[in-house]
Amino acid sequence: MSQVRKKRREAFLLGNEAVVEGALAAGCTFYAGYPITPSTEIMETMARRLPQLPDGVFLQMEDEIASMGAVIGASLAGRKAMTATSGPGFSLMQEQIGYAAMTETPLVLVDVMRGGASTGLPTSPGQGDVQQARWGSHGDHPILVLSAADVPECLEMTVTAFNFAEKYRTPVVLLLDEITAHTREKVSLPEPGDFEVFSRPVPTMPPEWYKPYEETLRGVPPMPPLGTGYRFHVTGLSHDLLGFPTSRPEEVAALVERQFRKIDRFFHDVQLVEHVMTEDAEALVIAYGCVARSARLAVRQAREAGVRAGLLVLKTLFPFPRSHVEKLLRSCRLAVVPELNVGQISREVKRVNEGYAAVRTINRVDGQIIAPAQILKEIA
Amino acid sequence: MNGHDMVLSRYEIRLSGLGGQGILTMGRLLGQALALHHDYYVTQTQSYGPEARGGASRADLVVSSEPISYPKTEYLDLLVALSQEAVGSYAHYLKPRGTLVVDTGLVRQTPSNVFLGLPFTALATDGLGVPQATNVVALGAVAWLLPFARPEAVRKSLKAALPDKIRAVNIKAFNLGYSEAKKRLGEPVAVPDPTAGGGDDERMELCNIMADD
Repeated sequence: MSQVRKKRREAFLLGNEAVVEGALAAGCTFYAGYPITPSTEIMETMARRLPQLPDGVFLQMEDEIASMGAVIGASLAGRKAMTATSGPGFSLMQEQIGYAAMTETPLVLVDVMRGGASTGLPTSPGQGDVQQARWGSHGDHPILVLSAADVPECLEMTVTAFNFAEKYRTPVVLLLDEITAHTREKVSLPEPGDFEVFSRPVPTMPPEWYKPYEETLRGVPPMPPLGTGYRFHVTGLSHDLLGFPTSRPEEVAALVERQFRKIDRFFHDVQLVEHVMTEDAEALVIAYGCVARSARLAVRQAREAGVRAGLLVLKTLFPFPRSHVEKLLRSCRLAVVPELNVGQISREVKRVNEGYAAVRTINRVDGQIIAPAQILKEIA
Repeated sequence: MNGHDMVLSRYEIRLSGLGGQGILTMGRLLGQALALHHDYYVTQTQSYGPEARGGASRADLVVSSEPISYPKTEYLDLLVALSQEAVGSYAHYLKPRGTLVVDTGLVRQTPSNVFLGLPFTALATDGLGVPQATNVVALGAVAWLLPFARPEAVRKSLKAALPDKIRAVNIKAFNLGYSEAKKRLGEPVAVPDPTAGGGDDERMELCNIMADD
């Protein structure tokens, strides 16, 4: 490369601000939300940035329920749409997460986790929404749940969230925590072409042949924007290939099976993890979010002290990256799962463990981060 | 970007005071200067109460030549305290050879007589007639005290972050803090050299932390 590389634009951003950069790089043009600490900077930055786009739309809604409704509507009309919230708002959004999953409407929801149940600790970190992100909405539904540990990753994982949402026609939850969202770090701002950006498949057949929920090779039916001549019916009721309500068992079963299959078949694509010195690890730490950063330091310190320690960072929380975890559990004597909750991902680790390794948990629910020394003590 | 930055291994700074003193802005400006106009890795975190003014407020920075894993501070190399409460709450987080910098007008009592002090609030109020610039005066002093921070880099970050109408007065405040510190606080602080055999310090701290638990 003889070309002189152009100097990259860099900025010193909050995790929340990096989410917005990622969303815009992924092609997001619609945001509807209701502000709540510690996610508010996402909304504030969107309010500034979206109106600068030729077709950007920013809406402050009356509450989180309406915000999700607006995001689903915008997505059906062809927009890449997102919202952001924290625990109390996330609870209000649950019903319509199910609606988005049932209608296979792509969207991105960022939940910046704070401490405690209910109003809890608004300005402190927590990781208590993990199982809610998977199972908060009623009924069996597929969903993708991602996480990020530092500020550059907030940007990157937001792009990934949009790509997965579009590729698989599914709601995607990006779980951050107060620390990741409120840490400032240097980020290089994305230029067009830095990230591969996916958009939902659109129908190529003439409108009169179009069947909205028809089986396809990947299990993901094409999705035209509303108002482009392709007519389709949208309902939360179990529906047939044309999108109209049905209770015929074979049609209902086929729908649910396809909705799960479209993601299950691509586990290798959606289950993202990062290995840190796991090749020869005897003591393994499994972590995500801000705690993964503490774990990274603890593992390095343990290595310096002669312990064969390793770290598996979960970037995808659900579908739980079972194959990665299982493989490491077989070769380790000990697995430590530190979390800012009473044990939500450790349940998954224990579920896939089947007696291979001793699983220990470190749980902290006092609004403080787990310090590296706390993890080191368990592995060294 | 330049290749002349000092090598640092987790240099930890805490700026603390009361809500309304501009602590978080000060943290952002310093972080921006070190991350964007030097070649350091920086994580800046913050903590504040629900009050808009008067509550405890702090901004923490970790500065390193290598990628930073744990983003929060553990034991401080430099503590700037602009209120008596901040000294009381945070002085014991200082490393044995860490540096305490206080606003001598607002802090009556320090845990030991090893500290550096300037009347930042009085300097801003009497010297400039702008008490709101206290944080930037303190930032100027910090820029003098940190041997790895170039003052022009901090000025650059100051200029980029501030709107036109308050830019001039803030640059003045920064210069005032910088020159007062140069005149009255002596040489910049010594920074532990991670290449000089060290590592023992870090391990010792580790033991301390573990003993705490």
